Amino acid sequence: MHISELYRALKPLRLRVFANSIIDCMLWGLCVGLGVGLFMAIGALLVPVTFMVQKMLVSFIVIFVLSIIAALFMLPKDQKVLAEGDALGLKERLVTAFEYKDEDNPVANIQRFDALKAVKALDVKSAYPLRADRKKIFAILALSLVMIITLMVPAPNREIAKERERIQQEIKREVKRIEKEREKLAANSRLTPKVLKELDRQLDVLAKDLRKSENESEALKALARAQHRLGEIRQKSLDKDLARLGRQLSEFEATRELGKALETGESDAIKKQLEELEKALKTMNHRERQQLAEELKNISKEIDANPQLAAACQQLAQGMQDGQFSGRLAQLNTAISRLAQDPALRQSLQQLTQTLQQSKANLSAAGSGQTQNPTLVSRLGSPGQGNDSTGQSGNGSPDTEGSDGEKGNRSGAGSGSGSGQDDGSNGSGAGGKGAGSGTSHGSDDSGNQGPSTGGAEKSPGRKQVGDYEEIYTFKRLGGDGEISNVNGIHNNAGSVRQIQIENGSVTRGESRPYHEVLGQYKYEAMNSLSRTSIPSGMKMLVEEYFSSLEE
Amino acid sequence: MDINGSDFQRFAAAVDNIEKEISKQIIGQKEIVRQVLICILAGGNVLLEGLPGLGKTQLVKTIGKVLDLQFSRIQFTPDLMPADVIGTNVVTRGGEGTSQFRFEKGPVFSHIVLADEINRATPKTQSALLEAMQEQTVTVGSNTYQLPQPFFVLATQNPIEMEGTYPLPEAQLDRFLFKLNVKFPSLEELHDIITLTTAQVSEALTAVTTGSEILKMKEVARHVPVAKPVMDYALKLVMATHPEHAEAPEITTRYVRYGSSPRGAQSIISGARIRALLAGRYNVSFEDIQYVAYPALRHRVHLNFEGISEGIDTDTVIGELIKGQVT
Repeated sequence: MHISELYRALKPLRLRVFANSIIDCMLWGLCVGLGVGLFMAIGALLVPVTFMVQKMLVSFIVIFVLSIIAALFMLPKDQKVLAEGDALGLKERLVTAFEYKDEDNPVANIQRFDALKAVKALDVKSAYPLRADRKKIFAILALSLVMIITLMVPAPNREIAKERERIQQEIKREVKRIEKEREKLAANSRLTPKVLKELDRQLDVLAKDLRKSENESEALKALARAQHRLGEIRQKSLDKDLARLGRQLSEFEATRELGKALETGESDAIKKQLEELEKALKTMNHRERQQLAEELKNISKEIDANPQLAAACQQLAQGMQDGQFSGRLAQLNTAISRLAQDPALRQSLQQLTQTLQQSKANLSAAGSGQTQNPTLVSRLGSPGQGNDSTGQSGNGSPDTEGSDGEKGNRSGAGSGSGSGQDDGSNGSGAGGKGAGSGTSHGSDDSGNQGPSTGGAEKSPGRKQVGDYEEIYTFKRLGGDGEISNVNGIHNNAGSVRQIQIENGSVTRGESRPYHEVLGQYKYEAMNSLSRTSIPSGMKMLVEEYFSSLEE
Repeated sequence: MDINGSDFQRFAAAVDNIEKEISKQIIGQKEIVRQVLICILAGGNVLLEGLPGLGKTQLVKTIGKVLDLQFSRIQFTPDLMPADVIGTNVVTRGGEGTSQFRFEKGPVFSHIVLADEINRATPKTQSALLEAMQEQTVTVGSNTYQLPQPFFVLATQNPIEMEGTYPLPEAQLDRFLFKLNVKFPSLEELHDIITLTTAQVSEALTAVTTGSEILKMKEVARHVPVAKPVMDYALKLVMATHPEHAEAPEITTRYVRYGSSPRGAQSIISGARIRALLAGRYNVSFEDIQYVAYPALRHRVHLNFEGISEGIDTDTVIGELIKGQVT
């Protein structure tokens, strides 16, 4: 009798052993998977774990699948099958037969035959049933029970994790939105390839940064950085085109300051210098104006690369000669504005800025656990930069990283008041000046607090913020009072009245950690921003201030 | 000696016939009968220990008759001398009127020697059996005489009445393949014993085998294969009886003074082979090892004072060792 017959006879037993091995591996997989899940569930009680259930499910499924795959590769060895067979009552017949398989003597042959006979007489199905280890089953049940109980235990960290989940989901949505913007941008044929490439790169960096962001503050920082970089791009485009004209105008006494302003590309300064030029022209005698007009004509001839600007200069020169220069100056201003920024680029930048603003507002809303305020979003997203009718409003953004601050001195235009000094997070900018008619109510504590509203109080968010120092919170006498909004028309006319109150009438408050009041302060500020006519640059400044505090 | 497959197949039947024949005279004690036969077929000597009147001597006599072997009985007493056992040289007169020494064989020159109450003889006389039991030869003076084959010593001893006895030394004990404890029969067995011995005429015994057949069976049994795991198991069991062994279990280190000699392992394997054949198998199993471990080791494991004082017996120790060894 050949040993191969015994191998064949053992095939059903081998399959059974294999099946039981798979079952055993699966049970192990379940045990380990549940163990990992339990570990995560306990961990979630101690620290916030975002998407815990999904992570538990994924890890459980991965471990379970791995255990099955491992089981498929763990084919039972001969020794194992023989041992299992002998344990079924074959009394070491199999192990002996295989050990003496190469011997050819009467006793070895008769022993192999005896083993074969015993194997054939064995009812494998009943003697070796498919079975699951009871201990493992009990362990699985116990682990499941403990895990369910653990998941049901109320834990503050779970709430924090849920909030973070909301933020992360919001971040994902914003990333999608930015990807859409990239696609739109790529389809914009009006932009030069270089600009297109630069903007695409910035959006790519932003998308990557957002994907890497683990919390709201990081995402807001990424958005702020992107906004800052967009601002830089815009600034660069201004500098490049205006520098040429500025150099030419700087050579003449009367337009030196204007030329410098053009060289620096500061729209406020340009506007101011044009106003100064208008005043100067009024005080000039006829001869001086004629001389300046001649010089302007000469300049206009030199800048044939910018026909619109050249024409505006020509017309201004003609206006000087005719004594009708006010309107011509406005035309020059418009021409400078058009030259200063490519409309397509401006439009794109404006659109991108809107998108980023909206993303920031969405993230802030998600982070503070509030539903999105459409008004706020629309307000934050409303075009406020590059308003041609009112000139360039301040749109600089303070560097959230504190590298370099804006130079400030932006002027806002419109009705209402707006007083308030931004003492700046890092920048050196002064607060914008409100211009227009009307007054507002509001008190200011030592000049640093903006007008407070009596709006709904928002509970502080539960964001994980750094350890801030305690801040003294006060209560005004008589409550927060009513807010009166004064309607008006945006223009440059009117005077500004600022009232600085040294010691506001407040009651004694209490010292509270800043992070406890930060959410409320931010909410109030955002509401104020949406209600009050404030230059968009200032809105950004306020937003970035709060974003920087949440780092 | 040629061995073929039919020899293996006939083995169990032959032993079955022997057992049936013995059962005509010996009521009950089936396990003892079987273990004695295992020991005989393995070529070893048996030490039977039990209270007086349990049929130890009767058993040995019956086996002698059934196996159709020359049987001699030596009643060991304190004044028994070695020469009374192995024989002595006597002066005889030759045909030419000369005197010469002639070796007069003692009762040990027999196939089956019943050493009854072996512990009543002095150690000197007990030792006279050492060579016979191990070498199956007898040396007198400068002459060595071969004992008839097959040769077995079946000794009995009484565990009580220790006064005036000489416990067998370890070396002597080690020569016995098995030590069997003869238990008191059950009520039913006792009833049959009384009926058989007092009321009926006992059935005549017939020899069912011969010495040469016994030798053949011994040779057949030596060819039974033992798988390595089974052999390892037996050896580990023996090693576990040694308190100085690094992996000795607690019961050994606590209660055992000396462990088994290598003869213990030999006894286990030899006995297990026979038992496998008796069970109709042609290989040794773990169960065979466990079965023969008790009679093969119980006289080779020597308890220390703590073990004796706590009433531990060697069977308990062996039982624990078997439980502790993974098959």
